[in-house]
Amino acid sequence: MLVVPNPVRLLRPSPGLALLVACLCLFFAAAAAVAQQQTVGGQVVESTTRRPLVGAQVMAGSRGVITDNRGRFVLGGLSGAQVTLRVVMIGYRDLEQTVEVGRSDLVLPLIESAVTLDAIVVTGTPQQQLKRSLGNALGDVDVSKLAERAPPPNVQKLLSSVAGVSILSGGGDIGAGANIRIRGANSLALSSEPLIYIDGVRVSNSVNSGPGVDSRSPPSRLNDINPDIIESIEIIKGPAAATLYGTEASNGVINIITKRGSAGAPVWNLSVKQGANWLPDPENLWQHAYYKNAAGQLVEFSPLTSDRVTGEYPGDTISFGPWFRTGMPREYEMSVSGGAGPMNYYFATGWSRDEGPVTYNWRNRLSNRANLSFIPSEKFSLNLGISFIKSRYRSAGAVQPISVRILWACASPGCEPGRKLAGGVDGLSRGYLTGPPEGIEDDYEGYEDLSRGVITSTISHRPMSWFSHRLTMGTDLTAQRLSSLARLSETLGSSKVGSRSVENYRETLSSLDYAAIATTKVGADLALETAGGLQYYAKQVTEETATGSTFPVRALETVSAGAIRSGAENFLENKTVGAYVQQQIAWKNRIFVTGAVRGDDNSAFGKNYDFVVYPKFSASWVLSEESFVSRFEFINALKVRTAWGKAGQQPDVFAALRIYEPASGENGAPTLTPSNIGNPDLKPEVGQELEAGFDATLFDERFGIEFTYYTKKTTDAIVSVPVTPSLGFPGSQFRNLGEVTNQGFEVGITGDAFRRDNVQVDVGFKFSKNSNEVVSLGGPASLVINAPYGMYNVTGFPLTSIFMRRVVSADIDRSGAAPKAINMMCEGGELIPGTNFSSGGGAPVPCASAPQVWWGASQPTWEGSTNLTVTLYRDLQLFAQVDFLGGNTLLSGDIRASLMSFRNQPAIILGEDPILLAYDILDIRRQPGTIKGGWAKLRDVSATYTFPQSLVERLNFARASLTVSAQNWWTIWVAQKYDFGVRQTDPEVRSTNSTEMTAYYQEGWPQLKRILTTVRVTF
Amino acid sequence: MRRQLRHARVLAGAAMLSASVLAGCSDLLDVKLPGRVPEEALNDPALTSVLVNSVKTDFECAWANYVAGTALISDQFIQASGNLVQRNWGTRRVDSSDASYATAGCGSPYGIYSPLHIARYQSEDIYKRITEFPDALVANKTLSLATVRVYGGWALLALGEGFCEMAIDGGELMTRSEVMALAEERFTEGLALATQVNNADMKNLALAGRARVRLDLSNLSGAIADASLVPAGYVKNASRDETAAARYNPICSNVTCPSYGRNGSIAPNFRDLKWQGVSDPRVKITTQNKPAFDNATIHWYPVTKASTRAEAMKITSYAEAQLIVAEASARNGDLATARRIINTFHTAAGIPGYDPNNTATKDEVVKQVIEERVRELFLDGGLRFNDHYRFQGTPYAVPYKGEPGSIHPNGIDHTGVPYGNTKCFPLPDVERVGNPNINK
Repeated sequence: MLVVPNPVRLLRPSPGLALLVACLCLFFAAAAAVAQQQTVGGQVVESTTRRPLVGAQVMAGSRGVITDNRGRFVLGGLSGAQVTLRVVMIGYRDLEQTVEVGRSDLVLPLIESAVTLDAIVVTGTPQQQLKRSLGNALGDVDVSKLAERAPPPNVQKLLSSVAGVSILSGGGDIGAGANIRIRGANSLALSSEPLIYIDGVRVSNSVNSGPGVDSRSPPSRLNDINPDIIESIEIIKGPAAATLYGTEASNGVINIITKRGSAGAPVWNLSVKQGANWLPDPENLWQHAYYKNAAGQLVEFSPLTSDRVTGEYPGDTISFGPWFRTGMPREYEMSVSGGAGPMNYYFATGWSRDEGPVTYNWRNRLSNRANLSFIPSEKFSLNLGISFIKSRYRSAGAVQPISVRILWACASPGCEPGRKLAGGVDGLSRGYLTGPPEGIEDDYEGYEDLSRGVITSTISHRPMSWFSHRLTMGTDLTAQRLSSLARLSETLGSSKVGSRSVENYRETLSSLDYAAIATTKVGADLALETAGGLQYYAKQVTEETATGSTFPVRALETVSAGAIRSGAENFLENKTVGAYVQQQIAWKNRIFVTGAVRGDDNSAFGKNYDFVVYPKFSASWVLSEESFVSRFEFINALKVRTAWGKAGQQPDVFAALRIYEPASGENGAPTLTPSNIGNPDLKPEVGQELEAGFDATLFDERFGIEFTYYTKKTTDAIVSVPVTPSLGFPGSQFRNLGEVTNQGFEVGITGDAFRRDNVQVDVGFKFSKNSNEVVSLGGPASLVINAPYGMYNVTGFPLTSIFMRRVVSADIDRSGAAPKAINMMCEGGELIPGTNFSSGGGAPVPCASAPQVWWGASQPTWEGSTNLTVTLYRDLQLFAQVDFLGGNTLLSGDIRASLMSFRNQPAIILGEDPILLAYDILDIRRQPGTIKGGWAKLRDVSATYTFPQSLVERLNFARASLTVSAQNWWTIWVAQKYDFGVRQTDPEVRSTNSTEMTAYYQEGWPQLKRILTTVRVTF
Repeated sequence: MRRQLRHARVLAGAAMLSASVLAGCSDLLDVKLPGRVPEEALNDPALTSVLVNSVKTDFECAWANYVAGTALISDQFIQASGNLVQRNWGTRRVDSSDASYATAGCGSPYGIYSPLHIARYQSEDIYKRITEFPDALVANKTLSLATVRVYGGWALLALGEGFCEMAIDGGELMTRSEVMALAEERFTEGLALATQVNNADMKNLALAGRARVRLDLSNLSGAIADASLVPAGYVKNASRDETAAARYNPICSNVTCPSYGRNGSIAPNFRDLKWQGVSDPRVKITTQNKPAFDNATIHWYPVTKASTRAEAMKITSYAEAQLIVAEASARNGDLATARRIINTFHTAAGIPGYDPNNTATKDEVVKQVIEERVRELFLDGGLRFNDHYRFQGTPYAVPYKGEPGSIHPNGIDHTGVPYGNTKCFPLPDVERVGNPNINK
């Protein structure tokens, strides 16, 4: 097919373009010199951020130049007093402006086009493709632009701008990772995390938790990457587009495209960020505790308030003294890029330190990236990239966080003053659960030390005009060292014996991806493209752990200092080989039909299963280039598209094998114990997706709409069926039993709402809706599979649904020692045959015979964001974004334990709520804390000032800007703030351990408030 | 035409390259398995001692958890946990959906059902494997088989005593009596094998186990016959150490040791045990006056029992056998034997004798045997839990916590938490749902 070159995008990956640019520049420069004619010069910039635009075409009549790597141009051969310039760049609206000949300080702002069909994409295709040819939706994140508007704390934050991508936060612990869900959760048992690529090379998306970090929100490997080295991110959202990635790609693919140099003199970029992170008003952030005093009166109690009032320490109410602080995040980044001859380069280095709200929570990161492009001819190019990342993260999760000691303070009864118990408000713990917080920092330490290298390389060769092939190879080497230390201490709430654990985790991911593409034209209108490829991935994980405990003295800190020591080593390996062929037919560069098939084999498939095949089909039609649509002038571009395809998700490494593992017996005797029951028939689960939608640009390219409807079915879904324990094996067995469907829609709208010379208003909106359902569990309707934390997968209901008995009425019997619920009536409903589960809604029945009714689903069913950008006087840009999410149900362990375990809340102390009293004697006290999970937050507010060019040039800079941004400033809406009078601290925080699609969470820190000042200078 | 031929040649080349790479796929996909053992590897006679030790080790792990869990539910402890699962256990609230006892392993506090079944399965499976090994290649084959059978019997004993109903190998529902009858069968086989090679240790372990099962099955004379053969001084322990969480003494790590879990506290009625005004040294309890894990209850713990994570846990002993003799004798009307055994314990403990005038009635003597058992074997062997269950509705009933006559007769514990109604462990949902012979 024909590719209309996008100058900006081609500068990165395309062979020969730099040479072309250089030649064009030389040609026009030479011509100008010979003719001694007049010139105009200046810079082409992006209208809102004032970023220089590299590769824009500036034309005057038949003359034209392309802007260099600073966005600058000089156009010669002109005559007369004025000339009309036309500036064209894919992704932006054309600009025509009449200027005085001879000027060299022109600033030509291009306004971003709402939707661009001629952008080049590289993800999910054998080679570069125009977006117009894609039958599937593609999420595209312009990182440079986003980072300018609201500098993100990490890469995960960047992804939230794409419709259909949910970032489920792990909370305010600096370094806590989030879950990424693209078009909802798909798997009953396997991870729903997408694959991650950097420049086409697969990198780690594993979530490894171990000693020293909070296992509920372990660090994300995605956040190792420095956002400043990223040019853009492309996201393909499901099997319809991910077929060429094969096994493991059914959750979607995130391809990170790093910055590259382009022809021209060196361009230096410096940025400095400095800011503050803090927990707002800790004294009132968490629900206060209560107790009954000796007179039987209810007394409110907060250990933080008590400490302040009693003068336990000289704290202030902002950072709250030694327990909390205002963290000071800072980052220093520098990069240089340019190109000379056949070689382009980009080097970046950066150091950052992010600090949490306690002194023992921070992360330091040194990040380096080098990208070299060698383009000796139009036929050959070599792109090589190397990243090296070194970081140290101190997690507040080395021990249960301080929030636990506050939230569940004053466990009742026993904490009331006068009893002089150690756990009492007048005891050694001062009312904090387990002990006062002053010992935490010194007594507990948890670190992640990371060294990571990523090497990416792509060789492209076009030996013939109709044939090209490329080889992408790379590796990701991750060495993670997790360690925890609990010092021997007699302080209340500390370790009485001391312990040290160390885990060395090394993951090596190697990938090789070869693609060959042949193109041909049949007549003037028909273009054919045939592609084939081979891919090979190998993943190797080694893990060594060592633990020592029971230290003789406090000063000791090593494993070998422990009187009791143990060690373990683990090794895992997984390999995939795949091959594909793809045929694309293009008609008049406006109708595109693509079909492909891919086959995979994987080392984890069962011995009775050999090979899996994934087909794909897609079509797109640029209707706006058809006469019957082009007559509507308000439609600038309109493409309709549809795609259907399959992709897989492989089972766990050893899931197919029946294996035993070594264990130690008496006096160290070697033994073998059953480990995994295995399944020789195990095969990958296969996601099959059909999507359809359109991309449109309307009203003089001022408004853009992207809409996609999708329906996805996961067949042969791997179900983690708990092994029937009486068979004598532990754990679960992976079986291909189930079927899960997901369907929903995504809409993204961008608009240029208002535009005058000095005021410009842009709006953005994205929204996605997703609903999933367990269609089958492969057995009788009564087969109910336990999900984590007491949730269940039940046929006909969403994944990991919450089922419990629900009390609708009860009376209180006060005749005994304590009030007790009697006459309990629970919600009734029609039973799912063979089970005690029901959708509910029936007439009340006595609780003893009541079914477990549906309370909700663990995963959000809708999410979105809306943003507003106001640009004043072209130099000042104000930005605000609201994120929202809902439709899910939370199991708040914070609320549940406050009521049912530590019993420090009025509702349980006073015993006046018959429903709560009923839950206290029903089941296992699971129901309290089951709340709606929706929220809306003002996520970002920022102001960016781009310094006037006159001032900047006086300082010998090309550009300078200042951004002040704030995050998490205001929680606008919470679906349910309280349950039985106990407040949920932050409904956004949840467990993010990748395989747990859980609604349950406890002890989390809320999101931090954050202010960041960023200064950027280019010279 | 020429162009199309050229295209075809290039594509054919690419296809051949693809085919050659795919042809080598089998090698490309080879992976190592250095840390795990495939099932087939167990069929090696040279592994016999490893396999026997495997049975023993899996049983020890399961037994330790069973003993710890049943102790917390019994009236020997009051709950004192901030952890809701442990609080539920301490208030006798074990639900059939509770994964903590159903599917958790030995590293978890109260993984019971799955570990006991692993121990049982291991004994059955390894018995078959060793049986099929050529005699010439296995040293001490008979003793190996005896050991495997006897430990398997003990696993069945715990499954029978602890659970309200049971399934084995994915089979149909079984009553407690059926499970214990199977345990008796295994003990009998093990006893015969141990007798063949005259191994006293396995013989005594089999005799003590069979005596206990027979007592459960109300075969009183059979129980007396077996228990009487257990020699004085015999003690069989489940080894414990601190090499891994699965090897800990879980009573210490979860409840009694002040440096670890502290999820319960010794119940008030056992903190200062006396006999006729004289302190009974068999149950020595102390406190540092510090709170347990719930931050509200003072942590009381034994001085000499379950005091380290490496402390071995009793499987059975001469004392237990003697108390079986005493109980069965008393229930058979032979009060003199029961009195003699009780007084033997009193003498050893240095406390006044029991019923010196022989005036106690049968019911009183049986009750006293039960009391002697909890004092002599405090926290041991799931015995108190079994006594709670066995004597329900009899004149010797030992009320569960929260029932009238217990330390919390109003059904509310010392922190205001209502008690549940667990008297034996329900068959877990995971078994009921996943077992096709039950979930028909």
